[in-house]
Amino acid sequence: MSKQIKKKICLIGSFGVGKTSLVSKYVKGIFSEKYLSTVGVMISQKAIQLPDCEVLLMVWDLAGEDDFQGLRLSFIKGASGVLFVADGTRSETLQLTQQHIDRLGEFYSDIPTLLLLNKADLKDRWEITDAHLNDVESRVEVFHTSAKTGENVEDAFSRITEMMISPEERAMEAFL
Amino acid sequence: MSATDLKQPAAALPRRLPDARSTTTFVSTPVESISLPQAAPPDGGRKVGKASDRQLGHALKPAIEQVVLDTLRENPKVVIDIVYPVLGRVIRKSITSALQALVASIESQAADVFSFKRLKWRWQALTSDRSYAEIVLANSVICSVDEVLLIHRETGLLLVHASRDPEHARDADLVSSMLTAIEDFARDSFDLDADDSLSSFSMAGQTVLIRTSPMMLIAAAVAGNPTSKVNDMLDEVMEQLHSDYHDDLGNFSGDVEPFISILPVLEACLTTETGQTQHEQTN
Repeated sequence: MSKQIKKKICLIGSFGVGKTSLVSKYVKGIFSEKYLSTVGVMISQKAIQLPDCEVLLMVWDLAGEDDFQGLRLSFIKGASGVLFVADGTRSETLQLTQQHIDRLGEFYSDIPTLLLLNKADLKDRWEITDAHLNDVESRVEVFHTSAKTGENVEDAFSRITEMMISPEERAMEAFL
Repeated sequence: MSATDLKQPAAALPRRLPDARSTTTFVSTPVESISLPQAAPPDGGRKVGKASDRQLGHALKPAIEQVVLDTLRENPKVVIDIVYPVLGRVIRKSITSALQALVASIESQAADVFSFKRLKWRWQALTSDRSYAEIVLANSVICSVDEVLLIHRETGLLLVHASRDPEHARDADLVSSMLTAIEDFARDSFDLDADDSLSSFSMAGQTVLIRTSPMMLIAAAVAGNPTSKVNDMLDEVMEQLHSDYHDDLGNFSGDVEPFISILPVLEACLTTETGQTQHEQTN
């Protein structure tokens, strides 16, 4: 049995972009969603088996805030990765996400990040075009996801997990 | 006599002190008992001033006490208004604690009313000069540490978990993260410093005691009223682990293997406190 490594990741995005739906699609057995509106975070866990080790992801789904100041930075501390989520049908959510990425970089510059453009099942209604994405794709890897169909959800979480496990940790696993 | 007078060099004091004695009729301690140096040392004035302050306070004490007592007799409502909010909280807390202990005790007694343990206690009562009620009270459970979690403070990730009930192990990772979030939430909400932390919270006879260091957090779920022994035990464990695992905690990046050796320490914390154990401690 391979060794287990635990990692904390955060989901950040505006109201209604589908963060909680993505988490619900990805994991089972989460804490009640009522904590999202009370404490401001919903936490769930998911074990991922990588070739060298098992990674237990603790997923902190932060309450949607349009303003970065509204985010509790204390909830982000200690995170090994951040998933930004925007709604493909609302271009303003991408603009807000870009602001979030910039501000997060000021505090945590070396954390692996991904951008999930959600609601890929409604692509015919997307406001976000390739032109919108040119700038952001140069700074962060982008996944088109659908919490409804599950499209790319598993892949996105697997990708951020791979990015979080350092080469040293992998080497140590292989050695052990 | 002013404070400035009292702090004058000792050489000047003998002239003034007799005057003070003569004009202050309620002085109960003779001023002659003050030992004054013959030659003033560099700080002699300060020493004499302190001694005189004490004498003055001692002299004024009976009069001040009398004034306070007279005020209380004439208008007790003033004092009641001041003390009531404090007393109310203390009394409520005391009653709640007593009721929690009583409920825990009754539950424990009801659970094993016909057990071998009860028969043994009855036998002890028959063969000793202690009553059955006394023996039951001595053996009643005051509190029981049911679960202990060691959590990495920055990430909220669970490092080690010990529990009487293996079923609890399934949710321990989630509970750890949520506890950390609640602790952060409380600190942010009340604008507290990073060093401040939630120390405990209680619900329905269950108390979660929390101990924090800059790098870790210990949470212990306790049924009943946590005794001072349990609190002291957690403090000691926290100090020991902080010292022994300082480097591992600082380098933590998700691998919990270096902390597995802590498990026996946490398991040793799963203690039960009874009236008997408390009695033994006091003796």
